[in-house]
This record gives sequence, C-alpha cells and structure tokens, in this order.
Amino acid sequence: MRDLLVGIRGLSFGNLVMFAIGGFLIYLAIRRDYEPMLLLPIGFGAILANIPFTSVLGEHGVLDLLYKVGIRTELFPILIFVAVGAMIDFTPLLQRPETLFFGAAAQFGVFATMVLASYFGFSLKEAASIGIIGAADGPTSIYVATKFAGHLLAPISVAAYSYMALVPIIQPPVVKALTTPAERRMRMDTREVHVPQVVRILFPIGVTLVAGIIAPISVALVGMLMFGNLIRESGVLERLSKAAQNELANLVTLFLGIAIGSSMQAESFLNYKTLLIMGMGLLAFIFDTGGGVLFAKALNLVLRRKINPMIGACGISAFPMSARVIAKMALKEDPTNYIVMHAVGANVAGQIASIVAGGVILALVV
Amino acid sequence: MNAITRSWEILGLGMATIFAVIIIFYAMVKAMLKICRGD
Repeated sequence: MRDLLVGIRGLSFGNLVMFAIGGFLIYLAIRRDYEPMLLLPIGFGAILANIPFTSVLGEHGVLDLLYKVGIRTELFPILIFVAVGAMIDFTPLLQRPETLFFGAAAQFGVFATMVLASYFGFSLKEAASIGIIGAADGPTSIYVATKFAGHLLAPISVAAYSYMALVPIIQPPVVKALTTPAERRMRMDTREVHVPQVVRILFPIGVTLVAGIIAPISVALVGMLMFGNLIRESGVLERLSKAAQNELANLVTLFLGIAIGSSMQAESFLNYKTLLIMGMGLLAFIFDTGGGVLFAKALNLVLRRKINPMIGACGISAFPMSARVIAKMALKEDPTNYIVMHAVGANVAGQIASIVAGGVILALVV
Repeated sequence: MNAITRSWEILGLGMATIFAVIIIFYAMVKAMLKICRGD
C-alpha cells in the first residue's frame, strides 16, 4: 500500500503547475492548431517528465535516452534540416534574387534580442541562445541552444515554436505601425520568371560552399539543409526526397518534441528565467518584423522601382505563414494588389538567412 | 570583455557578416541565371 502511494506523496506544487503547462500546450496544439506537430509532443513530454519517480527519466528512462541520443548529440535538429531542405522550393527566391536581402535584414531580431538578454544578466552564450529565437526557425533554435545553453533548451524551444504559430497575431500590428496605408497599397511586378533546373541544382551546392567556407561551423546546419534540397531538385531521387519530406520529418519530429518536453522538469523550468525568455522571444519576433520593414523603407529611398515595405516583414523563417499574412494584408488594403510571389520569395530568403544567422552566432560567440 | 559589450560587437559584426554572405549569394544567383538563362 505504501509503495502505491509513493507517487501521490511525491507530488509537488511544481509538478501540478507543469501538468497545467503541458495541458495548455496540448490545448494550443489541438484547439488552436498552433504548431501541433511540436507543441503536442512537447506538452505530453512535460507531463511525463513531471510524474513523481517517472520511469521515462533516469538512467534507463526512454526519454532520457532519446534526449541523450537525439538532442545532446544534435542529431535530431540536423535530421530535421535534411527534411526541411527537401520541403523547400527555392524557385520564388531564384525568380526574384533581390528578396534575399529581406532575409538578411529580418535577422536583426536575433542580434538585438541577444543584446537585450545580456542586459538581463544572461551570459553571452545564454543570450545568443535566447536571441536565436528570433530566427523563427525551430531546428536552428534547438541546435544553437543545445550547443550553448542546454539548460535553457526547453523554454527556448517552447518560445520559438509558440511564436512561430503566433506570427498572424504578432506581425500585422508591427507592420501597420511602421507603414502608411499608401505604402501598404504599393504594387509590385507580378510577371512569371523561368528558373532553369540547373540553377535550382547549383544553388544548394553554391550556398553550402560559400557559407561553409566563410563559417565552417555552419556546415552542419547549412550543409544538411542544402543536402535535402539537392535531393529534391536533382530530379532523380524522388523516393528519397519524399522519404525525407514525410517519413524522416514525421519520425524525427515525433521524438524531437517529446524529448524536449522531457527536459521541462518543474525544478529547472519554473523560474523567472523562463518568463524572461518567453518575453524576449516575443520581442525577437517584433524586432525581426521591424528590422525587415524598416530596411525595405530605407531601400525605397534609393530605388527607382519602389518595393512594398511590408515585404520586408516576410524575411523571417516562419514559412509560409509570414508570406501568407503579408499577402493578406496587402489584399485587405487593395483587393487587386497581389504581392504574394514577392512575399514568398522573401520568406524563403528568411529560411536561408536564419540558418546563416545561426552559423554566424556559432562562429562569433565563442 | 563583459557580455554586454561583446553582444553589441556581435550585433554589428553579425549583421555585417550576414549581409556580406547574402550579397555573395545574390551575385552567385545572378551569375547562374545569366549563364544558364542568358539574361
């Protein structure tokens, strides 16, 4: 009898709070459709990890094993990069290469948030891991946080995935505050541009070489993403491309989420740092959006053919959410203004730039 | 050097590096399109 009650006796207030947090994440995933692929496993992992004397943790615990093998070794995020690379179609970016610059500008949030975090007393490595939430790219956030601040991985992952899901709520007010109605109505060239297959094949190879030579530490990030993309674009590995996009992505995502959730133990998760990280994560997305829009406005001062500055906001990695939100905003201002192709181009640029930002952070923060 | 000073440095260096890399990507794509498509 005594043994049967050990779980109840071991239950702490912190455990109960973590059950509520896990339940809330599951609610967001199911009822609100907020990144369900990640938030649901994370939420359930948090519940599993907070049951007193749980057998999923500890020396022979299955979630501890997944965490050690998949997260601590950085294997899961790396495999996710292969899958994501196989899913990305770079054509909209190659059709309008100038949209690459919006991807760069929108990484401002990463660095601005890092500065902010350092003012709050976080060490440089912790601040960099918090800043990378602004990459709006789950696997990059997980990869950098694992390398630099493993103890902050859980709140950083939850913040990154939650805010990616909240892009339709976060971005519009920031874009509206920084643009005039006339700017939001600006039209852009909508002609179709042909991109030969050879360019789509050479692009991932070229990007890997350039990024790898400039920042060798980024090769694991950029290289695996581009490997996935090369499989897709080669045209001769359709089975592998589909396997990367479906089986690999699904399996790794499943284990990634629950392994991260298992690190959300009350003792390490329930503290003021988690709240600070959630707050700064939100600011990172706001800084990203602002950085992109202001960069586009600055470009308009010198360009002959003006750009709709809202495009700048799409330079984050949350794909295709950000492009969809901005294209919708343009249609709301003028129902005949279609900027979706430019928005998608900038959004794809954000996917590349976020990984470059991850690589740059890894190279500069030593 | 403390974390705050270093983070400001990384902000400047990081954004400059990202733009430099993106400029190279841009030039590379333009060159590829020019050669392969005859732009």
